[in-house]
Amino acid sequence: MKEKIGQRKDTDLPVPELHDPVQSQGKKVSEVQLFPVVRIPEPAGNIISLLVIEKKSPTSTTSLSKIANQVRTGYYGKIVDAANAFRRELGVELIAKNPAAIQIVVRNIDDSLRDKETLQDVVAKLCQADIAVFDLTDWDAGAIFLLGVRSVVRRGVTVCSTGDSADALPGPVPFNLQLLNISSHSAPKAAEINQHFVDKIITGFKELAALPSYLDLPSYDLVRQLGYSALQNRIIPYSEGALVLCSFEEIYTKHNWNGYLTGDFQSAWQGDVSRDLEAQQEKLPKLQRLLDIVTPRLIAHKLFEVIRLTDLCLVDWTGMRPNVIFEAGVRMAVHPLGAVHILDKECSDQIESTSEKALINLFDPIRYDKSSSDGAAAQEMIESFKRRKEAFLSRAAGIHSSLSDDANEFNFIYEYAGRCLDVEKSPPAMPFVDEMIRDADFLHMEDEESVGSSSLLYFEVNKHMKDRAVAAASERRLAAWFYLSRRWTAAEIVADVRRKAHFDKLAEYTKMWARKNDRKDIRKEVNDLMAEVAKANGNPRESVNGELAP
Amino acid sequence: MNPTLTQDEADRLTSIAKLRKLQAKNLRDDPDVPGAVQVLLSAIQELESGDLKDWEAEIGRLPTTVAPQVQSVAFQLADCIGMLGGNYRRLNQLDAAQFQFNRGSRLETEPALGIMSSYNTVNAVTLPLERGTLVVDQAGKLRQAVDTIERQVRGARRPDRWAWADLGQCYMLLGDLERAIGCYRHALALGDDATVQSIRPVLERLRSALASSDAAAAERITQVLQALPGT
Repeated sequence: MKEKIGQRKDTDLPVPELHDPVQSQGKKVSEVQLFPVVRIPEPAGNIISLLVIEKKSPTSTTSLSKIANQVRTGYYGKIVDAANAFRRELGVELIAKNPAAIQIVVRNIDDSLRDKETLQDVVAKLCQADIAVFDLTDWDAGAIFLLGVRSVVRRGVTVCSTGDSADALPGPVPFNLQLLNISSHSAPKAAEINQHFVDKIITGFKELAALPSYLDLPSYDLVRQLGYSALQNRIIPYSEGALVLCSFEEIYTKHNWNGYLTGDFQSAWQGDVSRDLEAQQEKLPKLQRLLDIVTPRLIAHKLFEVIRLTDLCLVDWTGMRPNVIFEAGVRMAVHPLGAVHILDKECSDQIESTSEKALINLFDPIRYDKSSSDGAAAQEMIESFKRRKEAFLSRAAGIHSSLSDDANEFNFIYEYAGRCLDVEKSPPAMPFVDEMIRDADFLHMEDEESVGSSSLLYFEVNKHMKDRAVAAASERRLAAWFYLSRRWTAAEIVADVRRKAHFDKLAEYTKMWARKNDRKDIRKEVNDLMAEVAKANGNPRESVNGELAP
Repeated sequence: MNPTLTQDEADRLTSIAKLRKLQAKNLRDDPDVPGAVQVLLSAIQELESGDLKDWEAEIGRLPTTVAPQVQSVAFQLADCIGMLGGNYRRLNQLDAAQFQFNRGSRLETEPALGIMSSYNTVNAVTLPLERGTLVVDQAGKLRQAVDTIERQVRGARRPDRWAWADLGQCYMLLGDLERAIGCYRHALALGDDATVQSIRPVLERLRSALASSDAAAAERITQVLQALPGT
């Protein structure tokens, strides 16, 4: 092609050139990506991945990576056992018991936030780590941001620790983190610290295996369970609302919120919305903070739902409040449009820690002057949102846009998190039969007859409720039986140990139900299927009734 | 008992025991009591084939506490043995039933195993009454059972209907009618229809057995039966 172009040099006609819009800044051709392809690491299958998000603190006497290594060496057997109990529930391949089965990955907080590439790497690790350990010493901004991401990308075991004494945390615990069980790695006795971490990890895996809604961080379920109808899941578009994640300090509320955001910015936004709409809306949308949301629901529950649904979200980094930083992590991980990052110009030089600086460098917030009324910053915020939306739409439509590789326009965290999810070990749902059996067991324990007790609340004082629960458990076991017995052939049932165990158990429950309800047809069906499965299993000790021959 | 019993193996054995108990209940209710006996014998054989094979020799010499996974398998073993004893009683094979209840009682009364059940222990004491055989220091054994169960219902067995039913039975046989009725009523409050269906035949069988040998005790059982709601 070059030769052919060269041959036309002597003509007066316009000479075509090789051109890419991304070369406008003089990039070399070799640097231009043909397609915005991102390498997505595969989740590790047959190991336990332990991620340590670490801060190198001069006040901390023990580093978390050192603890992680000691824990692996001293307790790998117990950890593998606990992890396998969880993996068994999911039907995932079990892990062999040896120290190498636990792969430790350490990421320094500041390094993780250095640029887009390092953040992508750590986002992948946050999605795929079976265990994540966070150093929250001094409420480090970077650690809290990454914790926000972790809280929505993985239902795994997460241990938070501080190099400060857990009894004397620095300052008040941020609202979003108040229910966290925070450890301390500053205690003087290393053996005690190690044992404490091991106990947390083992308990975490066991509870993860036993409880479908296990959580050690807030927000995982809250950003997913929005409601069943399309109306409840409906996004809040630009023209209908905007969310501001910001500080609630008095001085901020007075000057930034009341003075600038609900003043200059809200006017500019409302004006833009009015121009966009052909007919003037009777009631223009208003900016909302957490406290402005009208709902009887728990604030935290509503907040994470709104973070997930609202298109226009402003993250105001002013004051570097831990709550805001955590919410920013959540937002960037759950919303394809990311956020419009803003910062009070006066506070720019108050950014202190290295990880605060790293976050500001990474997101490059729009600086606003709360005392000025020129509206330029507000307009920039609006334009920034629109560019983000365009970048998203271009990418969604498969249009290669020069904007799409710009970290500040395209929310790579959302896409990268979504693509790196470990769907095997953090699945959207349990296998159907497992889920039905588990639901039934919650209502009426499998071994209730033997233990003579129930886990049901109020069972001692409300017989009617207990009867309903027992009946509901029975229906679930019946549903599981009908599904299992029709979904798989006898050969498929015996080929899977777990499925066979479910089959055996459900067959007995179904026989009980059939006897109680005088359904001889179902009883016969169960016996016939049991015979078929016994035959497929080639087990001469099992008779047609499922009982063992002497 | 082998302290090296792994959690995986304990889970496997527990799972087998639970399935066999379900199978045995179905067979019993079919009714195929001999079939239930066979299933329970096989369950016990499986539970005793591995780490718990020498438990009878080791009982009484165990350390203060044993590993939780050993405790959970021992609970299943005691439960299967109790069910087996109950099925032998249905078949009127009372020697075999007594043998199993005695074995199960040894597990239940071993403090190190922490088994939260008293079914075998109470039946080991009351079966001779049903058979009309003399028991040496029967009242002493009943009081011992009461002590054990009372301790349990003050702890983890507080919501266990069978614990309260066992306690009621012991008080009734000791002549404390008021406490017996109180315990039975609480057991029924904690339980469901099946609890009533389980308690009533036990009392009736006992009354029938005692009618000729201990009329006063039979009369107390009648009063208990009359006092119970839904029976």
